[in-house]
Amino acid sequence: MTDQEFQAAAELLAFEIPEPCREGIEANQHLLAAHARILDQWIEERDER
Amino acid sequence: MTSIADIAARVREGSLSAVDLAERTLEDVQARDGRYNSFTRLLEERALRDAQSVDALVARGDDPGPLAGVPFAVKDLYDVAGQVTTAGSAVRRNAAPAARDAVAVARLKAAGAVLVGTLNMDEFAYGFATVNAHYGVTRNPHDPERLAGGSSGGSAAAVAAGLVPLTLGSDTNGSVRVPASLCGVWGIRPGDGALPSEGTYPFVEMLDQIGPFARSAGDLALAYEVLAGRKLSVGGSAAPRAARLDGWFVRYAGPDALEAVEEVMAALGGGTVSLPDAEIARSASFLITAAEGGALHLPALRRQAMDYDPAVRDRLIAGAMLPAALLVKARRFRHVFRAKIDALFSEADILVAPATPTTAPRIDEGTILIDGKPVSARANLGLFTQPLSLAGIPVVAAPVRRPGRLPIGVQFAISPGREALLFDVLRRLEQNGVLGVAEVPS
Repeated sequence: MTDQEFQAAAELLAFEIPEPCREGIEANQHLLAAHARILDQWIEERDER
Repeated sequence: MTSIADIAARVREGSLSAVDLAERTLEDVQARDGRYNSFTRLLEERALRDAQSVDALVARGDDPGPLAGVPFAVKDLYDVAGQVTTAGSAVRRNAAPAARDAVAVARLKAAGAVLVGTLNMDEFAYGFATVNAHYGVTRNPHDPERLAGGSSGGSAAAVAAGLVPLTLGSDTNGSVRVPASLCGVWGIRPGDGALPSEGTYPFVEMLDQIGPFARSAGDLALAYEVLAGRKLSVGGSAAPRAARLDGWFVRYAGPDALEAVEEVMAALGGGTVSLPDAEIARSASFLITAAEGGALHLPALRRQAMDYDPAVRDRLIAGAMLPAALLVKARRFRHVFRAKIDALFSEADILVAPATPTTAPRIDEGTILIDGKPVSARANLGLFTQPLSLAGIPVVAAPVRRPGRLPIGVQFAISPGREALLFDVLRRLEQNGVLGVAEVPS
């Protein structure tokens, strides 16, 4: 996530995210993205059917 | 340790004083819990007052209830009148004390049980380890160098160590079943809404369930009945059909987990069935948990992010950033998945699966082997519990008897409303010596 994207996401939450959190947040975002891909694939296959 | 039914019977007949038992329990926790760190608070004054009330009822010839004098303790997310419900976090240390007991605590008390303390947990129930930045690590009574599991680790460890015969925990993604497995005790995640959660600190509304831990199938069933506020009645299959779940539940199970399931199936009989989309169910549970947990905590994170356990905080913030569309997709999947689970119950009455992929990992390693690769224990101990959480069905984690070895549990799932049949089968497996609480080495 670029600085700009991170700031945009934080702005959407109305949350000034402390800088020390960023590394941990990004690591968790990677994990969640992997789960999101698994779910997305199911949705796509189901919608195709 | 004596069963809770026997303890209650002795208190009711007057051969055991509830006050004596409460005093002994409090002394025992003070003397021994330093090794395990399962308790966060002892409630001496309340315990002795409640125990005196039980003894007074007995002296008057009244019945104090089916749990007369039974000492119990609760995960620190249950409201206890006059106490701050910390949910395992420093963030809530200055919150207002609870005005009244959680409904589950009140029901146990009304049945004569005596609350003696509160128990350690992962902060805000977000974890499978009970490694708590504020209250310390809860250690496994079978080997204090190993994890007790979580998030209800204090609840499982206190029962495993024989400090109390009954505790309450909660299960969102496996927080009863994972520590029950690693500590070698009995625990149940009830079906959706079967037990009252009013007065507990929430985590994920769509998945949260409360559940008891105990030292036998009979004790667990008795506690369940008291908590549910109704007697269970056996009905349905005279010889229930069991089937083990294959696929996901075999591929990622370690040798101990596979052996445990095989021993159970050798005693129960039955074949295998496939639970389609278990991996997707786990992902959906992960995403629902992150999104709902993040949304719940966002206001507090805005105010005091740096007071959270850093690992929990960063997970919650990442969850709060998830697009809402993902939650909609996860809910859509859940609807379809539940229909598939319902269909499985036309093939088998009881579904059997490992509770955890491995036995308790060492605290200093923090990893477990999945498919031959080391992965984070904190993230993966719930590999087999998360898909079943999404199904909303009752699941018992039961300890397989394996004297002299680290404990491991097996999950038994049944369709909602058939809990009595499940408890009946579990009692028989316990009597046959297949299942049973692992004794802690002295």
